[in-house]
Amino acid sequence: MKITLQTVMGLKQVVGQRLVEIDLPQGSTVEDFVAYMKKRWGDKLSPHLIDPQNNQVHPHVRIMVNGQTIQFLNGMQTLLNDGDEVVILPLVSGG
Amino acid sequence: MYSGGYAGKILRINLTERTSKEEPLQEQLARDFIGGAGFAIKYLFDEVKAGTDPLGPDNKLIFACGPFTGAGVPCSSRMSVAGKSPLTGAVGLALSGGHFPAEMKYAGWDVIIIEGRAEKPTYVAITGNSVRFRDAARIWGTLTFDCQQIIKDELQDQNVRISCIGPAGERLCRIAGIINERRALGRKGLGAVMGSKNLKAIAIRGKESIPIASEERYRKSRAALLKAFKESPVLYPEFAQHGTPMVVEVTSAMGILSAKNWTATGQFVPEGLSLESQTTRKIGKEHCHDCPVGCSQLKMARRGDYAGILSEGPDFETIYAFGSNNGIDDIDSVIAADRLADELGLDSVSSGVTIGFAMECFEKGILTLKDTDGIDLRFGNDAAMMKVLRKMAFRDGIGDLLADGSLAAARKIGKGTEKFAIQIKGLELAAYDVRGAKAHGLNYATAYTGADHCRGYAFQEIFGVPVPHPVDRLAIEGKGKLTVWNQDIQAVTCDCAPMCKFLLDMAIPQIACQNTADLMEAITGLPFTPEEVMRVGERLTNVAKAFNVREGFTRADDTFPERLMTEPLKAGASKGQLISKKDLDAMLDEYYSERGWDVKTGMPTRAKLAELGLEYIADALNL
Repeated sequence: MKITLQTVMGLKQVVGQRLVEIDLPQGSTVEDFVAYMKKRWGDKLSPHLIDPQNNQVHPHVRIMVNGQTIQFLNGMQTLLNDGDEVVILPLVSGG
Repeated sequence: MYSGGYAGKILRINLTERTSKEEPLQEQLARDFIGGAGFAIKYLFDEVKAGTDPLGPDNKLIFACGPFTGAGVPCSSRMSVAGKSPLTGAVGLALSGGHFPAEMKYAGWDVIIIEGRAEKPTYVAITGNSVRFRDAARIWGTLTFDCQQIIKDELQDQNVRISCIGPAGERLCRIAGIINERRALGRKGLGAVMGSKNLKAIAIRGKESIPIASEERYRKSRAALLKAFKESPVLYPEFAQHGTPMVVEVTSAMGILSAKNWTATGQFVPEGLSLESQTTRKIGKEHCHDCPVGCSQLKMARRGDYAGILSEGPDFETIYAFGSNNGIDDIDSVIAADRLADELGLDSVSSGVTIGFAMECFEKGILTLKDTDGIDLRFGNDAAMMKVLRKMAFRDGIGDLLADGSLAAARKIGKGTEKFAIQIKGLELAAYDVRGAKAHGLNYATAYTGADHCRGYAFQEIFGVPVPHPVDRLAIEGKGKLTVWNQDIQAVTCDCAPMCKFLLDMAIPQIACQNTADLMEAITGLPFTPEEVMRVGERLTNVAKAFNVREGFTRADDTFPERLMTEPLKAGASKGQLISKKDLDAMLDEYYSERGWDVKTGMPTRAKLAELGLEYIADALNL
């Protein structure tokens, strides 16, 4: 299934563009999605997504699936479907 | 009695009589309102009667600082300016950082109240206790940056701090702001109030220092604050480098970066306004007084007709107002418009949103080339935006139609245009399409100044900060309670004490009340608990609400432009979202209930006002 990844700022620099299409097997979860990202982009994700101390997503990074923060879905176990859009946001402020 | 923090004096300037007098700052006022917006709004309620003409001599302009300002608290050089808003008819409150606020304290003043109307153009030069009324005939008509330089030269003091108006304020444009150095007390039309008083500028200079009640306790509290700054994952690593413009990409990804007068949110992708495009324009940064962060970005336009134009900013709100909201995806145009608005003394948000409204009218054929002085006012036409912006400040042709904001323009144009004037209580909406951020929307609907992001910014929804708890931005339930918390904590910590708004969500959300209480006690000697700190925020909000109620505002005014309630977002990560009238009513019910106000009318109750020690306000409202 095809999942669209949308990134901003530093993570966008790492993945190379704002929108990236990612192919994953049916039944994949957000956890699988992040694992795919780790495999593809490796240590470059450290400052923007993965905490190298514990290999987990930084607590201040927000992951959204179709606009909803996964915390209000099923967390990292949220199931993805074909055509879903995953947005990964760093902590920012101002405005 | 307080023994530090405050200058201890209030300066009352009467422009009609060309007199000034000093009054003591009463301890009870300090205990009840702490400072800044608390002082300003208390004086506004007490001294500006119901029905006062905002552009008449009986309106007042009240500049107020808090006890942290000038005392060395990091990021505390902020001042509040209040008056009855000529744009909304409600409380007009604007805040600004920079150096003027600290200088005002060093000059020995916690509050400066401007009354009356000068017979002819005047500026006021304050040096400590000396107040001079100076002829402003020579500088009347100048742009704001030139005005400040001429005054500095005239006073032979290049370090004097100045707040002034430009041509827009002189012409009583109801979206005119007051410009303080290169910063703006932008919103609610307080520049027009200053213009109505024939007051071109206030120049201030001081040499006093601010005493601290307990140096030891102060050092401890200040250290706790600075530790939180350093531990923030965003304050120094990101915010100090990029400032507020980094919010452009995040809100765009969330599908809430408002575009084309709120018709194309989620569809408009701001590639030309991205952080990369902005980084290539950055030539430096600015710090407010006592600020270790320095979020203000100096940018220079690089291409085309605007190459070489410099601006301190544009900040996120201005990028929205002159950029995405007008369909302009070019940072150079936005830098140039930001600079022009500051020079003309126009609020960039209200100006940009009002031009966006006119662009929609033009694209719908409601305004034609005949109405626009031949200007092709389509979305995306940056040259047209620049022309109209200038015309607004001089009330020239189409500019005169738009100079008083979108609601006034819609009322003149008619033809149902009021439905897409993006304003609440007359104040144009700040950025963030709140159809995808419900508490942020409820704050726009209920803020006492109109659609104002500076009152109860829902950083939980926009940035995902989980304080006081994690928040689902798309949910309706719980947003009333959250908005009350947001409005009150921001009122007291950011607007009264005061501290920079950006610290609250980025560095100190969990310790803000405790730290404010600790600093208050250390600096002023007045004992405060975190609960009492929050109570000050609540008190301030109630006084401001009472001012509006006295002016005739009701629950019906706590609403949205029709578009937000009837047109779902068409694309992006918030696709399908809106805030229906039913959802708004549910949030309002919860909000008023949480406030202890009458749910039916949205008015404060006598019981709530009495609980806050404001019985005299209950009497004034005949409750």
